[in-house]
Amino acid sequence: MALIEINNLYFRYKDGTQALRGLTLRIEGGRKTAILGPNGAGKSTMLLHLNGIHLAQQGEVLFAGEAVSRSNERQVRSRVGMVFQDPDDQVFSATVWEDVAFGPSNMGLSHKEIEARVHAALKATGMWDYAGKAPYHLSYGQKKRVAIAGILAMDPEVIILDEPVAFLDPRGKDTVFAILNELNRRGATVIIATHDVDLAAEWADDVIVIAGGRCLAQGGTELLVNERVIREAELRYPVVARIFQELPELELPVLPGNVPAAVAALRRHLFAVKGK
Amino acid sequence: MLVYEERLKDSMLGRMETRLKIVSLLTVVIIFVSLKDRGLLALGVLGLAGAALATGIRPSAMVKKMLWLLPFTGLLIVLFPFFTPGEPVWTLSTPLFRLAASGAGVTKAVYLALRVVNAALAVSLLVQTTPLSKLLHGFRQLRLPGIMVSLVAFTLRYVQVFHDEIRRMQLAMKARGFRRGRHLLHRRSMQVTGLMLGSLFLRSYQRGERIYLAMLSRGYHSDSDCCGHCPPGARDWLTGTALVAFGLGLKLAEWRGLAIWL
Ligand SMILES: Nc1ncnc2c1ncn2[C@@H]1O[C@H](COP(=O)(O)OP(=O)(O)O)[C@@H](O)[C@H]1O
Ligand SMILES: [Mg+2]
Repeated sequence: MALIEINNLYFRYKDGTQALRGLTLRIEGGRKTAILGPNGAGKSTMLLHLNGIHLAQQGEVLFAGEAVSRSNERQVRSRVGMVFQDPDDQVFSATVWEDVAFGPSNMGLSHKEIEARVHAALKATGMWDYAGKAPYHLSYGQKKRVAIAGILAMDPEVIILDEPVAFLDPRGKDTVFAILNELNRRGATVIIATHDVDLAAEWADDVIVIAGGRCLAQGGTELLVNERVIREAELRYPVVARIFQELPELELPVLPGNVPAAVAALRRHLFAVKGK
Repeated sequence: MLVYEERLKDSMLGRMETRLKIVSLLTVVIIFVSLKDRGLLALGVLGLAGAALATGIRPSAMVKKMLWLLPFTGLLIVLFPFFTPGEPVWTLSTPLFRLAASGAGVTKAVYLALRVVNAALAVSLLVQTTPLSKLLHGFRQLRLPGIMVSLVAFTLRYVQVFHDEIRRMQLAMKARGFRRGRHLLHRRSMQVTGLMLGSLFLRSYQRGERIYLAMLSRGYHSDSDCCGHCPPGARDWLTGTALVAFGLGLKLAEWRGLAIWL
């Protein structure tokens, strides 16, 4: 059984926008999953269902086999943490420390436990030295890390990030992914939503492509070099794949979508040339 | 702004147990408001201002905060002398009309001003030395109804949101060469400010909603804001007693008529 299952989910906003139209997908536990799709595809709307902020209007969302509903939303929220796209929406307390403590205190933990968790989360994100600072004096990348720390402190099994590296500089991106990979190594399920094909191709184990409120395809990173999927989802090929598209003389059976795949393909080709 | 300041953490009030702090400051304000003697009221203001100084709140910041109150009570204070009937002490004559300020009105205005300043000082002493989560927890432990605590929580949080939003908009306007006129009636300034206020409310509303969602997803519910429980210590009682004693001292002075010389 998959950790998260969404079956035929529909969702309409108050203003009448139909954001999800029969979405069906599964997400395995313990893996790194990228939800990919163009702007307005319904990624954020879908993510908000995963920790019970939106409840299914039609269809169902199952977490660990149980439908997410009004009665268990609080429990789900302590197991599924969500980092919002804009850290300014999430980080609102007067000090970094207080902000990171917000989640744990909602969980009703003891003061000692809260202190320990805030400490660990700020250390893990490299923000411990800023504990006493006001968040609004921080840089965007630092705020993002505080937002992530705020979720880490709740110690969720699943951590969801909406557009985790939008507006971050290369260094900031690396830092965020180092944190995510470490979390995943320790057993957490990590889910990100992004419209960045290269990012998904490099980082993810599993890829789910969404467009127009429906799931177009679900599988490994090979989906990202699938012509039909790219076209229907209005995405583009990863940069690595585009390079190989310009080299038909290599006669590769499949386009490599990321660096390891490209290196493997080139090696194979070079050895074949040498062998002749 | 009305937010907790980390650097005040080690001050006397910063270290004080929250419930005791709330109760003693509230008691002092209630006592002050009941004072009928101008001199004693002024002494109360001085006392609280002194406490704020000792806590480490800068005088300039204090004055700034008082300026924020002007739009709300300033007008009332200015108008009181003219609308309260009584012996005129000062008249403004123009060909069209005559305005007379009454002695009773002036007295009333002075009282109102002193009381407002007193309350404002006490509130800023409380809010600036207490982290929000502790403050709310304190209110809850004092059995304040949950809905009121939530109201306080959101007001304090959204003050910050508003402030941030204004800062961002002003910056963006400046970046495109907008400069505020030198006086309040400058036409274009008024126009732009009006537009800005409109979109400020919209933007803050939308942001407020997103913030609320983000809070929910971190497990917020109206009875949260809860963390450990530690009883007040000897030092807390001492600070609280000193505060209340100051208030009571003034009340006593008034009661025994010791304030004639002030
Ligand atoms: N709060 C909202 N109210 C109304 N419509 C919304 C709201 N949020 C998103 N939408 C609409 O729902 C659709 C899906 O949006 P979203 O889930 O944010 O997509 P994505 O995250 O993939 O860019 C879009 O058409 C968007 O305009
Ligand atoms: Mg989105």
